Amino acid sequence: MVVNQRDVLLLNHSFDSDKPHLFIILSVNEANEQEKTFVGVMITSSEKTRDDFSFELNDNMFLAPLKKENSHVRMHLITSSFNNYIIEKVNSMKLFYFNQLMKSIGDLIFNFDFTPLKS
Amino acid sequence: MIAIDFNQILDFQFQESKRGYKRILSFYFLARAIFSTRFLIKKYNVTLTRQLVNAKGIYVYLSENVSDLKDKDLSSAILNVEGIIKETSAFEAYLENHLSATKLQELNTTHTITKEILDVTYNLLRLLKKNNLKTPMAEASEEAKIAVGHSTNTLNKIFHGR
Repeated sequence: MVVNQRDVLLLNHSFDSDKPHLFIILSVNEANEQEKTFVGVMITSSEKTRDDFSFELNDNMFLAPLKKENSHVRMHLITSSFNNYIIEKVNSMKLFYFNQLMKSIGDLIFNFDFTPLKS
Repeated sequence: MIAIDFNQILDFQFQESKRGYKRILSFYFLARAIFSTRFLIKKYNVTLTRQLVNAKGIYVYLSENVSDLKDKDLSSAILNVEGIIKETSAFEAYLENHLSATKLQELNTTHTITKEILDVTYNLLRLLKKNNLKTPMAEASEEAKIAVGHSTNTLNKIFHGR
């Protein structure tokens, strides 16, 4: 499966007791293809973890509706993963909002300017 | 000390724009009287530009007085700005969905200004969040454990093939 930047993927993991989670893919296609690994950031709808490290999501930010109310990205929960943990691709984030997410991660998590480069 | 009630100014300007865009959309998509619609949209774009200039002004002002924001409880301002982003993004998506069906250049301009307003509002949100008083969580959340578990699993697979 080809993993594209801005994809929203449902990922499995080896903790049997936990449910699979949605992740937004941050890394670019070339990097994802290199060893079939990728970097993503976690989406949750938990109210308990909503804070300044949350990036609020709504249906308008995606190509298709998210189908889950009150979703937000946990900007500091960035993980690397393998292609074989992918259950399915469920959506894709629109470029404008993805750029805002990356700027927010750069600013709030790394204190860096993650302004997108012209491709 | 921050000498302006930036929260109230932002909200007032946003409410004015919101009233305007509801009028525009109902007129454009129900009446379809192109000549009058063009005039109305042009007029509305002036209101939107005013909102954009105000938002930029507030952002610059707060950036220059950032030491006054540091470690204060800015939660209500953050909530307000997030609300503005939510409603503005709904308007932006609505415009985007209808742009292909219209030849009105004025509506394109509305869309461009709306995206600029969103961009500035996100800048403002980041500034507020960065300087807000933080209360670290007492213990790691389930989400944090899962995220770290993912990276651990990936490393295990790379190093040990399992």
